[in-house]
Amino acid sequence: MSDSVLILDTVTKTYGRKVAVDAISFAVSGGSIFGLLGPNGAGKTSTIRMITGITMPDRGTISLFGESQRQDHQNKIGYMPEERGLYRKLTVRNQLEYLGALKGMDSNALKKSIDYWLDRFQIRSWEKKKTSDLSKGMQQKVQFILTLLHDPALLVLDEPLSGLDPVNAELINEVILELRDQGKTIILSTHRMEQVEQLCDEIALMNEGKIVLAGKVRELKTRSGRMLISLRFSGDATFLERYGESRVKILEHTPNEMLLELGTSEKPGELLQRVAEYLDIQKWEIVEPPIKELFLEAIAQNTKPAAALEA
Amino acid sequence: MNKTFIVLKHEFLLKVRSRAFIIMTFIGPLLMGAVIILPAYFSAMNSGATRQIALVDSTGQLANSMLNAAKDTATDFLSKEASTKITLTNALPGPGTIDSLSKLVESKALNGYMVVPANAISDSVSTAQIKLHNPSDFAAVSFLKDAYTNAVRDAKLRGRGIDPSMVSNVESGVHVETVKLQAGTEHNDNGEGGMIMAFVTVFILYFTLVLYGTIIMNSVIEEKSSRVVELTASSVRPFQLLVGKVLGVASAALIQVGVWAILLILLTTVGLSAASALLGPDVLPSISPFMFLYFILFFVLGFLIYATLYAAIGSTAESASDVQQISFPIVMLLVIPFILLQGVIQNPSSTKSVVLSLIPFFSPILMLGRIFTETPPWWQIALAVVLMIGTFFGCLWVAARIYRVGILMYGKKFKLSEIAKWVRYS
Repeated sequence: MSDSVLILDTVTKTYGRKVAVDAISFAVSGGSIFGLLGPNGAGKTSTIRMITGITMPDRGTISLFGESQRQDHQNKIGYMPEERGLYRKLTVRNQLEYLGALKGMDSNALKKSIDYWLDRFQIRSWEKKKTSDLSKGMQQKVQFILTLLHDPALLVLDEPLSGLDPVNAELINEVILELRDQGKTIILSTHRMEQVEQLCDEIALMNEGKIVLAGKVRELKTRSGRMLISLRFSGDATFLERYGESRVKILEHTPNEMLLELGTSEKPGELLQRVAEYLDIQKWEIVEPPIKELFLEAIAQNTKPAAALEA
Repeated sequence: MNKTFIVLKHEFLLKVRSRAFIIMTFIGPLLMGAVIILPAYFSAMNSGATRQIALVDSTGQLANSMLNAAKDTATDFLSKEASTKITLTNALPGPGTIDSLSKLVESKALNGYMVVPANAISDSVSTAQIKLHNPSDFAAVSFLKDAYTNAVRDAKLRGRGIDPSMVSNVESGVHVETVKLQAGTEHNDNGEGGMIMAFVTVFILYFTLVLYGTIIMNSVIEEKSSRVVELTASSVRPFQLLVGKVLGVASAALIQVGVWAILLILLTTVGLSAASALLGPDVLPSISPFMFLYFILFFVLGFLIYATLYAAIGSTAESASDVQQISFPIVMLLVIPFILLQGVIQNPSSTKSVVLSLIPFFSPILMLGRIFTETPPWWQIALAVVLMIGTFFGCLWVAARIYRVGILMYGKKFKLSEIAKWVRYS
């Protein structure tokens, strides 16, 4: 792919005897939002640290912006680590000035950018305060500004919403979409499936250091071939449990809504007739599988049994 | 702008703008001066008070001479014991004398008493006793000893038919002078002064190395424990971060020590007359510009070596309490030469001293100590400098490897053996 901003080619990283990242390859197209997903310990952070140039791959290559990875690529990457951190004793402005300068910005551009983002996040009046005096929400805004300050072409956001209140979370989602519209490329590592549904164009799913599922979200959903039905009703739906999991599997169940998965030989029309006999149906919709389902399926298929892990 | 320089500038400004730095730079010398001068000053103050001392002279022949010597202390302000005023009273020896005198000393009506044995003049060996409320009142003790020795000597001379004044005539006018002879030049010097100078400067060096080593270590720990290091590491290479930090803090320390050194020079030149009035002449020698340059040279090299090691140690920890065990070897590297210093200064050109002062980790303290007491051959100084520069780069290489791994490792305390692995594998 010539328009790929980032390409990983059989990248491997080991720590001692543990293989954290095992020969993974993927590409991220320019101007897209790419979701890097996976359970804890799957190797996402190790992968991100290599992309951001904090560590080097043991084997394999990384190319950024069409070139082999170099030290000065760091200046074009905005990184928001999962473990947030600021200099506690520095003021907000000093903090932004120092870390902005480390991204290679000259002082004029830096000043303009700091002013813009402090205004945008409405924390201008706090610029002289020490970080340790700020509320957690404020600190997160400062952290996000640090990621954006140098106008990076590639953003790497590791769990950007963790610990955010809904107002700040919405603000950040908004800015992420805005940046994508400006042509920036965004790599998003998150556990929040609704954020993935809402934002991501492509995903790569990691498990135990390997990529177990990757591609465009649309295509993955179509390709899965799973038949899911979203149902809203009133009445007693317990009769559905008698079908058995191979025929009708209940994925989600709230008092008035259900997400059902039909076995391959089941016909949705027949089931609808049966259900209509028992329940008052308000909604009956054939839906694509949510990413969460694809995620769980892929993990289940690709996780070694515990015994194998011990050995 | 080079990123190492950005880190350097940031760390430097952060340090020199901090209140603690400004206070230490200007108050530090005052405190140090106080530590050196106050004890001497207080002892002089103390000796200004008049001591009441009783004399029990069982020979009956020494009291007069000693009482006269005591009278001189009250009038002769130019003598060595200028401010030691002693009032000596003659107490007649008798059965209850000692007991009643002891009671007077206990009730502090008397500072003490001296008992002269009856055989003081007749026997060749005898022992007098001085009993004082404060036995460490050196001024009183030294006066009593001198006065007693003179009185006994005079009495013994008279007993052999010799006039004591004749003896003092013969003795007077004989002087001995020590001259420091080096590199063809001669200058009067006072060995004691050089030794004090060596201790003072080496202490400043030791103190600053430990202080700033700890400062750098804590700054690394803070960056790591606040997790901000992940962000800096995504902007700048860990090696640049390490070098920038060490050099930045080193520049700040150099300014501080420079201010201290200048104040010390002022103290030893302008303040010399005032100081010598208290401490005696020539105790504080002047610092030659060469010594100042040597001090700066050894300070900078020592600083670079130790600061680099401290930074590496800091990167392995998440809190200051984690590092005590690991930093112990480094502290030892500084403490050992400090303990050896006295021996080396007393015998600066012995093989042992030469070898010890060439060990790069010890050189900042021991070679500097030698430079202040004698001038070692130039090749030894040069060799020490070369070895220290080599050691610095060696330490930097090791530290960079530890640092690179350490700053990203969380969740447990690391043993030295594990850290050694990082150096080998990374």
